[in-house]
Amino acid sequence: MRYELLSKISKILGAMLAAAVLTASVAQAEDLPDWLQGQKLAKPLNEVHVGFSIRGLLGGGDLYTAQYVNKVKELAQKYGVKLTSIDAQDDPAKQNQDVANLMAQGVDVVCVWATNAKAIVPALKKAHDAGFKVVTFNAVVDEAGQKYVDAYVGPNDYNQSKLATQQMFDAMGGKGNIVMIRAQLGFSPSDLRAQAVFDLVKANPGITLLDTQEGRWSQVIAQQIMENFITRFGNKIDGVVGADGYTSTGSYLAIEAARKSGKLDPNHVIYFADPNVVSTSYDLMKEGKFPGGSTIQDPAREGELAFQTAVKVAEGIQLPKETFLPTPIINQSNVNQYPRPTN
Amino acid sequence: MSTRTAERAEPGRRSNAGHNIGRKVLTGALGFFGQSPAWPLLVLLIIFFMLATPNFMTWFNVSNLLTQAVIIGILAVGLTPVFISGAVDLSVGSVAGFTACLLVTIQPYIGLYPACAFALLAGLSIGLFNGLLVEIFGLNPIIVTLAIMLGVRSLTFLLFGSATISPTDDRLLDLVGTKVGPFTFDVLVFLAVALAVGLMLRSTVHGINTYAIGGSRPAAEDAGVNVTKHVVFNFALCGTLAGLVGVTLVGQLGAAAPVYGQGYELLAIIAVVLGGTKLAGGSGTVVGTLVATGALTVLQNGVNLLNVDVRYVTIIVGVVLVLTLTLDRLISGGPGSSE
Repeated sequence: MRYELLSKISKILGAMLAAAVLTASVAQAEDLPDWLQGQKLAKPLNEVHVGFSIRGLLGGGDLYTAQYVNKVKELAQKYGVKLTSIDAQDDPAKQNQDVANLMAQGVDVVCVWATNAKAIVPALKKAHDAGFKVVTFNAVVDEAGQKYVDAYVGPNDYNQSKLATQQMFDAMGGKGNIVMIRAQLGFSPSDLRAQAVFDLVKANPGITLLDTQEGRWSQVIAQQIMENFITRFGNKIDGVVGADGYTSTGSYLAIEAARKSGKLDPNHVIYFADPNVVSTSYDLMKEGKFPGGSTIQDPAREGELAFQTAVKVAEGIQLPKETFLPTPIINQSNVNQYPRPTN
Repeated sequence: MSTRTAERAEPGRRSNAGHNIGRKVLTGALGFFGQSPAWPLLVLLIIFFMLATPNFMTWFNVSNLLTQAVIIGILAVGLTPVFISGAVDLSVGSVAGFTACLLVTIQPYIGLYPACAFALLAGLSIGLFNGLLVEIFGLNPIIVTLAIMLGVRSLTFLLFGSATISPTDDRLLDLVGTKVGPFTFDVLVFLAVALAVGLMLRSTVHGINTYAIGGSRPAAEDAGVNVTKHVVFNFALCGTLAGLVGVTLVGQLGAAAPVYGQGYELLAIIAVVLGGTKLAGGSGTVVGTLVATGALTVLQNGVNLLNVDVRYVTIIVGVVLVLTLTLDRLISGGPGSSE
C-alpha cells in the first residue's frame, strides 16, 4: 500500500519535472530571437561575452560608426550578452593592443573593425593561435590574415563604389571631367572605394580624372578641398566622386557657394557619386540637387548583422566565411522608395 | 679603556647611524617619489584596477601592459633630454611613420638588418637637422619641429604612396615577438634604452650640461658649456629613438603605413610632463618618464578591462591627467608643474 502510494507520488513528481523541463525549454526557445531559432547553442545567451575592437569612434570617427556601435550595444543589452568594445582611435598600433586587451578579458569572440588591413594581421594571428574565435566586420583584412578569421560581415566596398560611380558616368553620358575626394589613405574601405573609381575611369576613356584628394570622411574638409578644386579647374568639373554622403554634401555646398559668387556657371550641371548615402545627401536627392547616384549602407542594419554574426560564432554555429551587407542603388529617380537615413 | 669606550659608544653610534640611515631612506624615498607626480598616480591606479577587475593582475595582462608601454615609452625617453635642455620636438611621430615605411621599402634590396640600421640613421639625420635648424639659425623649436612634423608626414606619403607596405622578410616580426624570460624582445630593448639614457643624463658630462642648459642657458654659456653641441646631440638622439620606434612598429605590426605614429608626439609629451620634467627645462628624470608612461598605459588598459564606454575613455584619461598635475602643483608647487 505504502509502496503504491510512493510509486504514484514519484510518477506525479516525474511528470511535473518533465513538464517543467519541457516548459522551460519551450520558454527558452520562445525567448530566442528569430536569427537563433533552431540552432544548437553552446551556452545561454547571457553567458556569451563578445569583444569589439572599433577602428575609430573618437579619432576621426563619424556618425556612421557611432550609430553602428549604438546598435550593437542596444542588441547586447536586449539579449543580455556581455559586450566589451574598445576604440582604436584609427591607430593600427593601438588596435593591436586593444585586441590583446580583449583577449585578457577572456571574451568568447574577438570582433575587429580593422583600421589597417595589413597591420592588424599579427593581432588576428595572436588571437587565433590562442584559441579565440575571430570575426572581422566592415573592413576586410589583408589576404595574409584571412586564415585567422572565422567570419567577415560588412559591405563590399569595391562593388558599392563601382555601382554608385557607374550611375554617375551613365548620367554624364560616359564623358566629362571628374574630381575625387576620397577618404583616408591606408584604410581598406577607403582604398577599395577609391580603387573602384580608378578602375572605372580606366574602363571609360571618355572620363578624365582631374585630381584626387583626401577628405577623411569629413564634410568640412571635403568642402575646403572642393573650393580648391573649383579655384583650379572651374567649369571644367563635370562630376565629383565622394567617399560618402558627408563628402558629397560638403562638395555640394562649395559648388553652390561658387555658383552664387559667380565662380561657376549656374547652368553648368555637376554630377555626384558616393557609395554611401547619408541624411543630408538624401535630402539633396529628394530636392533634385544630386544628379548621379549613391548606394544605401545602413549603419544600424550593419551593426545588427555584426552583432548576430558575433553571437553565432561565439555559440559555435557554422557560418559562411563572408556575409555581405545588401547595398541597393539610390538616386533621384528612386529616392522616394527608401526612408531617410538616420546618419 | 678607550676600546671599551669605543665599545660602549658603538651601540649609540649604531643607533644614530640607523636613525640617520632611516631618515635618509625616508627622505630619499620621498624625494624620489616627489620627483614625479606620476608615482602616486601609478600606485593608485594599480590598486584600483586590481580591486576592480580580476583580469588586471594576470600574467597575460601584465605582459600586455609592458608591450603596450614600449612605443610611447621609447619616444618619451628620447624626448626627456630634449625637454630638460629647454627645447621640444613635435616631429617624433612623423619620423616614426617615415622610418617604418623606409625600412619596409628598402629591406628587399639591402636586407633586413642593414635596412633597420638605415632607418635608425634616417631618424638620426632628421633629429640632427631639427637640432641644427634650432641652434644654427636660432629658430623656435616648436615652429621648426612642427614644420618638420608636417613635412616628413607629407614626404612619407609622397615617397611611399598611400598603401600599407608589407615586408618580404618576417624575421623582425618574429624577433619582436620572441620571449626572453617574462619579456618580449621589444620590452627589453625599451628597458635597455631607458637605462642608457637615464645613465647618460645622470652620470655623464653631457647629461650634467643638459640640465645646466635647461636651468639657465646664459649661465651655461658663461660657464663655457658648448650649448649648441649638447642641444643638437639631444635632438639627434631623440630622432634616432623615433627611428627605433619606426623599426619596433614594423616588428609589432608586420607592416608599415604612412599613417603610423600620428598623434604619438602628444602622448609622449604628456608622459614626459607627467613624469615631472619641466616644459621650461632644467629638471626631470628618465625614471619619472618611465613611471608616467606606466601610469598612462595602466590607465588606458584598465578602463578597457572595466569595459568603460569608449566615448568616456579619452575624457577619463584627460581628466586624470589634469587632476594629477593640478594636485601636484597645489601640494608641492613641484616639478610636475609645467612652468
